[in-house]
Amino acid sequence: MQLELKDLTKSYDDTIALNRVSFRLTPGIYGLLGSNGSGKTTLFRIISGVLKQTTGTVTYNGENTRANSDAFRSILGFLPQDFSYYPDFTGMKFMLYIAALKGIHKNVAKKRCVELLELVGLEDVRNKKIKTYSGGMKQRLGIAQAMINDPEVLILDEPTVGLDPKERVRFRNLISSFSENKIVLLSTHIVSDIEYIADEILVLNKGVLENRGPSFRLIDTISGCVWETEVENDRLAGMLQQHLISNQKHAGNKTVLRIISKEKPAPEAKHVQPTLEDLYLYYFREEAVR
Amino acid sequence: MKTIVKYEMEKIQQNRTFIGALVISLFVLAGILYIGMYHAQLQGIERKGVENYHQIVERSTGEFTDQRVQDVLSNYIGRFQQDDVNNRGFDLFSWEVANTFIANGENIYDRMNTAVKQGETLTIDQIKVKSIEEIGFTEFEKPLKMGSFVTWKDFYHVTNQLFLLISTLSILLCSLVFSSDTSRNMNPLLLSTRRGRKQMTVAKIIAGTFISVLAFLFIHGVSLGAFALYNSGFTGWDTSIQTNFSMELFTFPVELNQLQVYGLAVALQLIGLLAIVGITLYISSATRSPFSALLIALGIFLLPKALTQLVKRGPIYHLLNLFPINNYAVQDFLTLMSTKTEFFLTYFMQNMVLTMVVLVAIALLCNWAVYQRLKQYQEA
Repeated sequence: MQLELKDLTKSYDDTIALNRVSFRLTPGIYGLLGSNGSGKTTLFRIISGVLKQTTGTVTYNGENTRANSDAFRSILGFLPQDFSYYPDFTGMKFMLYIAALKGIHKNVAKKRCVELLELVGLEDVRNKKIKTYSGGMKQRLGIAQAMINDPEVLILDEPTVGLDPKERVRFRNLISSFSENKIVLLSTHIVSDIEYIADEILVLNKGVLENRGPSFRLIDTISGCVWETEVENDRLAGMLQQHLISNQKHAGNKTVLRIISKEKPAPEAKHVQPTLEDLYLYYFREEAVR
Repeated sequence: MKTIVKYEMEKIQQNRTFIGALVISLFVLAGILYIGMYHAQLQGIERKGVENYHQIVERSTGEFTDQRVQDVLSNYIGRFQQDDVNNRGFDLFSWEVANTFIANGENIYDRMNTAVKQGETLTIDQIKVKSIEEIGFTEFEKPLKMGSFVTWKDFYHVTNQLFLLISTLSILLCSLVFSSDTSRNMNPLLLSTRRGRKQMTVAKIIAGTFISVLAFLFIHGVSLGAFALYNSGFTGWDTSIQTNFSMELFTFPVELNQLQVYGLAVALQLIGLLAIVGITLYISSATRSPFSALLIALGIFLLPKALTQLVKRGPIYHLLNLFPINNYAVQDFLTLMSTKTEFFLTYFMQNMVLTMVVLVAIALLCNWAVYQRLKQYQEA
């Protein structure tokens, strides 16, 4: 089982949304880390076949997914970003509709939908109209529909948006239990979600795949670049302006700053263990500064 | 496939715009039937008009001959002069016959009133009545049949108005079919499923077409029922269309009775509706919002009518006459399709078949284009 992207480029007039992105995925959970506009959604839409790349290919087990689109779609589960549901459908009806579109037989579909709705904690509200659901419930319904056909490739674009911490834990466990012998590719702004469940992280910045690897190895690449220092309040404004700050907290009449910098930001600064959040800021510092 | 069609139909039925349009359409339908039949001129002030009309029709039904015309007119002027002026009902049947056969210069109503005032009676022999041949009625092997026609003229008029109602409703519902999913940003999800491109597209086309046809049949069913009440049955069904004096189709070249004309009108409207549905579905698949789809589809529906005001001759005019908006009305299609200068071919039935073939071709072509478009669909 192998999903391979080769030299994938997508451009719109003068803008390059994706620039020669290449990677190969085997079963496992992959977290796609990128700021807004970095090309995550474009990449997902190309893989799922709803957007055509300018150049490059996507192959699954050596077969071009565009040329064999029907076969690829039957093993694909996709949760797009920002879509509306049919407000007057019940959760169950929506699931059955998507099951029908995925070619699952009516009898099997019903059982499968009930199981999945139970798994995402929507069993009690399955016969209620979607318009009565909260944002988190809708998102869980979206996750459930993506898994109806027991897909070999599961693509989730911002699946944890709108989920509260308890729901996010449930989601992480769900994906972990589901991912055996499957390729799961997900993007999120909440880096801790990726940190917990992703076997590997792909860093996409301005349409370019900048790095990939297990989170500890990526974090390692910035070891020695994360500092902590206590500053007097009169120096605070200057420090905030000069450095990329990943955290600040008050300690008495001083402030403890967590700084990302290749050089020692202050004589009393000490190295600290970097986190994935630091890594995110390191790669996407422009957005952090904004 | 059946399951997907079922869900697609549910999506349409649950759409608030569609529900609202359906409710409004029922009011409009009631209005058309009320004005066209219940409140028709024939009913009269005391609402005994239809009853009186049928009595006259019963006496006047039969082979269309000069003698029968004479009899009808003789009875008419006799009754006109006998009845008290204040209780005199308006005999629309005979009035139309008189209007056709008595020369304008005769001014019979003034002459009858003067005669009554002088205590005399104007007789049919004192009036110049034109013959069937003089007027130029088309002749066939069998003589034409005269019978009830005023109620049928009202029925045709209602049928014409219903087409505009059904078309508008169908345009509205079909404009939702694809564009509402696009505007909800559902396409990435739906089109990335195994059946989301081919079967779902076909299912949407079937759902849109099926509901439109269902609305068509329902509305025409209700109208037929209302007509049966209005006309106390279907009396006059076998009256020749040439003897429907209200429509003045005396020289219409094909031997058709009023029921056959109604059948042709409904068939033509149904096929026209399929073309309208096809075009609207294509527009819906190409636009991002139901509102723009609706506006464009309505524009395209009405455009041929506007263009015929600019182009009144030649092949482009003939082409424009193929579109439903120019031939949906009973009198229009009977007139246009039996005249070489208005249509492509010489004979009525040839033009009828040509129109139907073209409209079916438009419907199929548009549905095929929608299917191809969605099969290859890519987000912008």
